[in-house]
Amino acid sequence: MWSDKTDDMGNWVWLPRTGGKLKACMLLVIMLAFCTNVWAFEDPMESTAINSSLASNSLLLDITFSGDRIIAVGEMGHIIYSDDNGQSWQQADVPVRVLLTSVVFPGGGQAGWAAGHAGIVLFSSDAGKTWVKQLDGRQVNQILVDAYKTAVSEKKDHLGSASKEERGRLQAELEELEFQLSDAMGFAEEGPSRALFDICFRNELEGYAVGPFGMIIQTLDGGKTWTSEAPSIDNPDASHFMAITFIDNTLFLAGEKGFISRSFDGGKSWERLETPYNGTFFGLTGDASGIMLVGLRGNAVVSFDRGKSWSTVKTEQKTTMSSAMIISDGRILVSQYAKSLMVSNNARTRLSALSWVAGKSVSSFVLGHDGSLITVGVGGVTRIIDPDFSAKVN
Amino acid sequence: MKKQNDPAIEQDKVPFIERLVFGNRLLVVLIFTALTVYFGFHMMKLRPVASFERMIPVYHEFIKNAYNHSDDLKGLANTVRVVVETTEDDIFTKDYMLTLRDIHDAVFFVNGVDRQNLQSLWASAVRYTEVTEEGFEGGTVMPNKFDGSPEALNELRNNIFRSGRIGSLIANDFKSTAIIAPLYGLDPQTSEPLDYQEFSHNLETQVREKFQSDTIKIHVVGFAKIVGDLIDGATRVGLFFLAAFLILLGLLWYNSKCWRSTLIRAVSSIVAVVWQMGLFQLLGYGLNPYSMLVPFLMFALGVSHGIQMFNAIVQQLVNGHGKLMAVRRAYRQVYLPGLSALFTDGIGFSLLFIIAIGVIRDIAIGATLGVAIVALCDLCLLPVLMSYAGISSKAVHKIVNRDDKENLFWTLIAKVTKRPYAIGVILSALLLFVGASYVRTDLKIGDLDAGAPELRADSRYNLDNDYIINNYSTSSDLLVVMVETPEDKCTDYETLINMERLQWKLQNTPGVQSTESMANFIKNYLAGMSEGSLKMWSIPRDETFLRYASIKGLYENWVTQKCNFAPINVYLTDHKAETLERVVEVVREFSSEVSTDEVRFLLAAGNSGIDAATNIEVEKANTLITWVVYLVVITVCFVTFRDLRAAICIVFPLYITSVLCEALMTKLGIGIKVATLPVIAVGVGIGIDYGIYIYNKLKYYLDLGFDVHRAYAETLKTTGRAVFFTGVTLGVGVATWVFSPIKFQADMGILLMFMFVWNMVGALLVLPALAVFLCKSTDVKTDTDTDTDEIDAKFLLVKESMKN
Repeated sequence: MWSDKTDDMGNWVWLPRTGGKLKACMLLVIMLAFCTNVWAFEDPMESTAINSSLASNSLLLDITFSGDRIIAVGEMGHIIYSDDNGQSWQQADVPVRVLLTSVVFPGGGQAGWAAGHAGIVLFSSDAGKTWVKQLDGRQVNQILVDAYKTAVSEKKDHLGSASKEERGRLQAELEELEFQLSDAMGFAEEGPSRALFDICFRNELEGYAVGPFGMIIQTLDGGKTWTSEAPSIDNPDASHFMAITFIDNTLFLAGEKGFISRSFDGGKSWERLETPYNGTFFGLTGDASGIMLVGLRGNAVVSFDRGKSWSTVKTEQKTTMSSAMIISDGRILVSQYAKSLMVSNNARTRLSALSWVAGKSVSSFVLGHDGSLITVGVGGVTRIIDPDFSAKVN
Repeated sequence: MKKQNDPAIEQDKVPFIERLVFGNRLLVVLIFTALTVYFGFHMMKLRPVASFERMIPVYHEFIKNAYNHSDDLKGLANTVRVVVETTEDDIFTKDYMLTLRDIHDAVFFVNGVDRQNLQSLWASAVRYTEVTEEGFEGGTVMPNKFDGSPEALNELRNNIFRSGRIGSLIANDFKSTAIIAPLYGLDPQTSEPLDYQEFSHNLETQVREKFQSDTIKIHVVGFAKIVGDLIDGATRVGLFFLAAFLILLGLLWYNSKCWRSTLIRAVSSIVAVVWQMGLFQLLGYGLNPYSMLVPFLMFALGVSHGIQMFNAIVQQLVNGHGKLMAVRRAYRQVYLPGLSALFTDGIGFSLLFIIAIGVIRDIAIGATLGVAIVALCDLCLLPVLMSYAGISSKAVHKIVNRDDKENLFWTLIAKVTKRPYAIGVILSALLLFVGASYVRTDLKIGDLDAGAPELRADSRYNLDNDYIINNYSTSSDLLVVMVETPEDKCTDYETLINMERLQWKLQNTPGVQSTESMANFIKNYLAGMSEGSLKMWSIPRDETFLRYASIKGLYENWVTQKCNFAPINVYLTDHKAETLERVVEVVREFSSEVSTDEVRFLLAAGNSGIDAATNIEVEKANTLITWVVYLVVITVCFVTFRDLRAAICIVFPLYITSVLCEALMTKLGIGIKVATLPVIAVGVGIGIDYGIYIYNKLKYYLDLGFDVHRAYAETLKTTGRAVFFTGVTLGVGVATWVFSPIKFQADMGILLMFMFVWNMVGALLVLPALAVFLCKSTDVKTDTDTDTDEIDAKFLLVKESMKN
């Protein structure tokens, strides 16, 4: 129908007379427009988050501060921020639509990172208002494949120059690494299917993110390049890593099947620790006077010697706990997949439930600068104006 | 008007039909008696039905889609919810739980309940699950060996919290719990379709009446219950018919003061109703709550035409004719106008056939048939019976005398043809018209009331429904978007992500309460498999997992066995037309964006899907029927009078009434719906009769050279009275419907009554007022003041010639 509308030069008259390249581009655009039936799928990794006033009511998983601004992340690429201690929220411009699990602004500064499903890492330099994609799952897969390849070849070199006594052990380690390499290549083939569950930054340059099946990546240049030290972590069961954080300059990593490990050298070498609990830990907090891990079905452990030894925390409720944070008087406040929070005693040896409702099913929380408590979880943000942290003594 | 001589002398000028009827009077009576017995026998077999398919536009794309997937939509199974409420503090008492068990057992044994899938706290299928270090752990919500002890009650309470069924099976306020009973489509005992009326009665006697007490209250909702209540309500219409019959009988008597002729006219009309209903049954129809209107209309039509016959006979008796001759002469006078009026009624009714909704077509067929039968009865049975019975001379005397007494009223009415009054009437009509046009801009489409709009807001059903909506987290307004995929592709990542995106769009649409689909199921399932971690509440890209999840989703009916279909349930806050339109628009736009040849997002099942389709079709049908009706009415006017002025005089008052009717609907909160579709067609179809009668007579006198005022005064003496009485009769005929327990019947009653009466008022007041300005006497000598005597003399002459 249009083909007959050609001028004497054989050009389609419905296109302006422009250079060949531009014309080709326009044709392509028009063809794409007609192909929408085929190309309508909007991949969550590539599509910008939908702006919605309901974003603050959707599932939100993590919340943090950047200066006086509160920033929360959650499903479908929702990132919202509040400049009035959680009373009103704006939605940030986000280039992805995946479930975001974790957000961090080191030192409460302007620069921050958010991590989520499909191996997505986002970066914001304007206190959470706009975000760019730094990393996705395909790159993460490649980083891990490269890390294991390097580890395998290093191990092989090591094996070549090793003494006879060492050979047996090194051979076994090589086989283990080769097995893990094939695993990593398997994931790479499957695509960007692995999520990141937690992200932490020591400063605006050094940061870490963790995920399932023993996945860990790190950066020393503010997220421009990432590497992985996963091969150096003793994790034969390929346990999921759920939480990573710096406590008193020591990096702690916790996860599935009672996994807990610490590193004094920024993740180069790791020391596996033992706790009385063999289930999953979801949350991790502490300071020089004590570290607490919280996890499945009311299980929590505490250490008063930087993780060397652990003892069980008595908990009042048997609900799964999601995150923990130290409040001003030194006690630890813990969120759980329930309507209420729990609070520890001063000695951090016991957790008691608070009687008031803090949300539907709480994933994380912050204390606002006006003394309010802002929680996120199922159903979005809940703000408690004057929270009472005095637990009943029993 | 015919100017013939005595019919007894000039036999060849007597119409054939008159000779046929009056030549075989006994035969006519015998044939009618036999046929009435035959049709009466079949009428007895006529059953009330409330077939849902006949109340909706089954031809609409949405409903076709829903029917194509009816087997896939198992999640929408026809269920009944019995909610057991305690008036005490909460449900955690021994008494309550043991009573609940008895009620559970009673519901279990109600015929038609799918016993295996019955759910309540006492059903073993109602379980809780919990994520532990080893995986999932669970058990029945009701503790084993429940003995009502405080420990057992405490365990029950904990299990209820863990079950996640608060809001669906247990009320949010813990003052009631639900028994959810899916129903079989076929009666397991007889293999016939389940009789909802019987089922509803069984629930009442075996459950509600048996267990309701001071402390226990029972609420029942569900489609089967609505249908059961609808049929029960419809059965009560028989009483309304009796009431309408008695009132009309009284009116007839008041008008005639003669019991003999009153009874004969009533019998003749009843015969028409019996025939119509018998024939309806023979044609294989049941009596649905809409077509029940037809017998009322037929009876009223029969009575009103009987009145005209009666008036004509009285006139002939006054002129001194004998019983038989008076009837025959009256017959000759009224059979043609009567027939043509019934013919236009028939056209009005049959026009309804263009609306392809079952119940409306039932009305169209029933009423068109009925009009033919009424015509037959009025043409054959009534005159023959009257010729036997006659009219008592006392009554004739009374009527003649009353004519004088009533003159004042009619003289007043005749004044509308005086210019100042005419201007006043026309201005008031215009004022009403403008006002009503303004009011009706707020007219809504569809049902506006919450709950089951078929029933009244204060009906038992709707009160029960209110209770459940207020205390549970379920909505009774559900629209289902159907996602079609190739086999084994129902859990493709792209499809699930599209479903999730559509759901988010819908959740951002005002009027949507929540949405649910396979996408939610997968997210919940993955999080559950991941030790309940919310950080995994996402649709995974892992194809193996997605395929595995499709098998799990099958158990909850989120996908089908072949994995080629997945529903998205959209729960709405109400079923207002705007809400439905918005939701339909969002889905349509999304569907046109993402649907491919293989994966299609289709509208719409669920009660709100059907509502949406019905609204769309009803709106179209309403516009269509209004245009067609007015086109036909104008054509009829034009064909009859070959005069544009006639069309204006007759149609303008009708149109005002139609607009007033829509304004009334707006004010009464009645939306345009299936039940209101017939109102305009029936109201206008019958209303035009009035206009034609009056204009016909008016024109006759005008052609004789009378001025408008005198012509109209004369018109009122005969036709005006008949029109007045017909309007009242028809209005009364449908008025009893106002008391129907079925909301839409009451709405139809009010609106039709309004149409019948206001069309009559319009024909009596507005038509002549317009005629003052539009119609001129053909005679030049129209000056009333100077030539009164002459015209009076001429009039008397004409009157004499009419009598002969």
